[in-house]
Amino acid sequence: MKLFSLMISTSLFILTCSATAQTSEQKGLAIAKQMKARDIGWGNSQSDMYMTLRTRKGQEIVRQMRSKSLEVDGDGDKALTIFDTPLDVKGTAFLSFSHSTGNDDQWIYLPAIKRVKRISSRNRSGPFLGSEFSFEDLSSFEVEKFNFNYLGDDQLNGQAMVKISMDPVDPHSGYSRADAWVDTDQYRVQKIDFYDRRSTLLKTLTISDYKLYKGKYWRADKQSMINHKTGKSTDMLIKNLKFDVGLSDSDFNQNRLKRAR
Amino acid sequence: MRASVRTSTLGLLALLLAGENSLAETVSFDGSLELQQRLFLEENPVAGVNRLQNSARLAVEFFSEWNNGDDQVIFEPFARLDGGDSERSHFDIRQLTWSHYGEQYELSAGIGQVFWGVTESQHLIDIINQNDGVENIDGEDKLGQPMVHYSYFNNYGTFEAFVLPYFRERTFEGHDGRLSAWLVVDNKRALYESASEQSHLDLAARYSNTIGDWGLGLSWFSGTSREPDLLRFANFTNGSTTAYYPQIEQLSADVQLTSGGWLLKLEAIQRNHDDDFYQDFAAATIGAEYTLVGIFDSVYDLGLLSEYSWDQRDQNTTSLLQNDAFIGARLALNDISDSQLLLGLSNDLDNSDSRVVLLEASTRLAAPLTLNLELRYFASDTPNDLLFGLRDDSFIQIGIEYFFN
Repeated sequence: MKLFSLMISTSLFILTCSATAQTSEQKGLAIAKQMKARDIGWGNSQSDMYMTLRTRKGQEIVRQMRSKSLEVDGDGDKALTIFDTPLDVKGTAFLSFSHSTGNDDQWIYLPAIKRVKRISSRNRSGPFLGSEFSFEDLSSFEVEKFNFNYLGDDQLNGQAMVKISMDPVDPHSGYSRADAWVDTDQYRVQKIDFYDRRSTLLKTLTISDYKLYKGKYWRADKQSMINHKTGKSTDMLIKNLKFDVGLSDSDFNQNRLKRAR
Repeated sequence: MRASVRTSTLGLLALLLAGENSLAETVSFDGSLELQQRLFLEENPVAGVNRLQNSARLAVEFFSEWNNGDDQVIFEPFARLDGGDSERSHFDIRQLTWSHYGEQYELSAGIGQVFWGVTESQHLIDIINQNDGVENIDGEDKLGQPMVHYSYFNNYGTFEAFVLPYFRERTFEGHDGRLSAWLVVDNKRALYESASEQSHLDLAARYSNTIGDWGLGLSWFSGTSREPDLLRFANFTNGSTTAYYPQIEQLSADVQLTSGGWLLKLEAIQRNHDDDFYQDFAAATIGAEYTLVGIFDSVYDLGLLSEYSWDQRDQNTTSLLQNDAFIGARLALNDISDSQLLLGLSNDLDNSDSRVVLLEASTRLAAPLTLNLELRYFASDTPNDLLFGLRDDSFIQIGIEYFFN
């Protein structure tokens, strides 16, 4: 018993020592790895998404879509998004294979001409269907995509946070860096400030209404992105999120895009 | 009330096809109605002085799936009502297909739509479906094709086989219609090389795969040419003709390299005929596309396209693009109205006075309404160029499309 507690305090001591000896890069990377480690093994999921796009003048449109996701061992996720509204884009399907290194693979199915097109993924910094989310904001989180830096401890809505900066490795990213607030309790991202290539604050993402799935995985019901430059904003609500829905590789084959409903 | 009747009819259909007591899990109904107005820039000595052509287009889709989506039925009727050209008013079943999806295979039977290809200015290898020629001249509107289609995919790619038991004749503008290149084709009859005529059994096969940044397809088709010979039985004194459909065997390849911001594309065919009257030939389209993201510090995306089309038959070709260059720009505004614009120019490199200017633009006016604009400008001073016959048919088209479900 005594030996056991001694062991614990010793290992805690070693941990604390190594923490202080860490550079801010190492500490940032350790936090990012912790975030990723807590999100391994979720398998596959599907959900309904409601994206409300707002202009500075208050014009508004709701894009309703459904999303299917598949975790890929040792690489980025596969994701299929099917659009339901507005009706003129209904049936459009977007397939994306995220990769931890290199360009993602992307296909789009256009129902009006019944054609599947492979598209360039160099559009990472471009807006996802006119929203304030860019393609890279929606790509799966992979540690290899960023250089991390621990910026300090902080508080957000009374919760203890660590603040880390994420510098995208990809030279075609639209960001010079992004600062993320991560809660120390469950390592969930609560807020991100995105800085454009000229290092001015471009957008702020607020992530809220986290729920626990499968007793292990935290997913947010709401993500709000505000563009400080244009005054436009996009709210993304997730509904009916379900895990273990029996999706496999063949559901993410580009041949199956026109089947997607 | 109407919705529930549809549900039960399709549900019953689903039950019959499935042969088991599963209930239809998903049923949907969608459609759009577009009112179009064309304004021709010139009077046409054949079609008359009327420079306006108004028409309406209705497209509807009924969809039902069951067995967890492993079985699907799609029914897509289509109708066009044209105020000026009675031959352009027509009805078609674009799709009426039952499809079954296995883990690695897919079987479809019925009337279907299949697109092959990667390039934009010409759809050279796309051969399964016949052009609905009265809809537009870009070859992107297709008539429903009766078929049985089987595809199997694994790590080595996708293998497809098509059995096409019935042939669809291309639709042509009538005497009062525009865009007929002064040749009025008899829509009531057609001539065939095959004695089986429309019932000739056509076959096709395709292999396609994605390897890293490369997309590759190899296809084979044997049967009735989708492209009619309009000159063989033409009466040049009165400008009337009957379409003649020869038997062909066609091999094709399509390649797309997706690398960085670049798309590099190739479509190529080799078409052989049994009939010595026709020259066997090769043709190809190559293209490059580069996308600039966020131009001028905006959220606009600008895609730059250039394509070149070549045809071994050269001046004897029946294709508009036999030695032609195409350049174009596609602008996406990424606004909440999904506004986009495509501007293109096709120029004949042999007869440099023969060119087509194309503009397509669309935006959403309000939630179920879109505005569609199209401009096609034809210019040619060379009487033996196919474009010469279209030189008085340049038009601007405005469409308002209403979507419903």
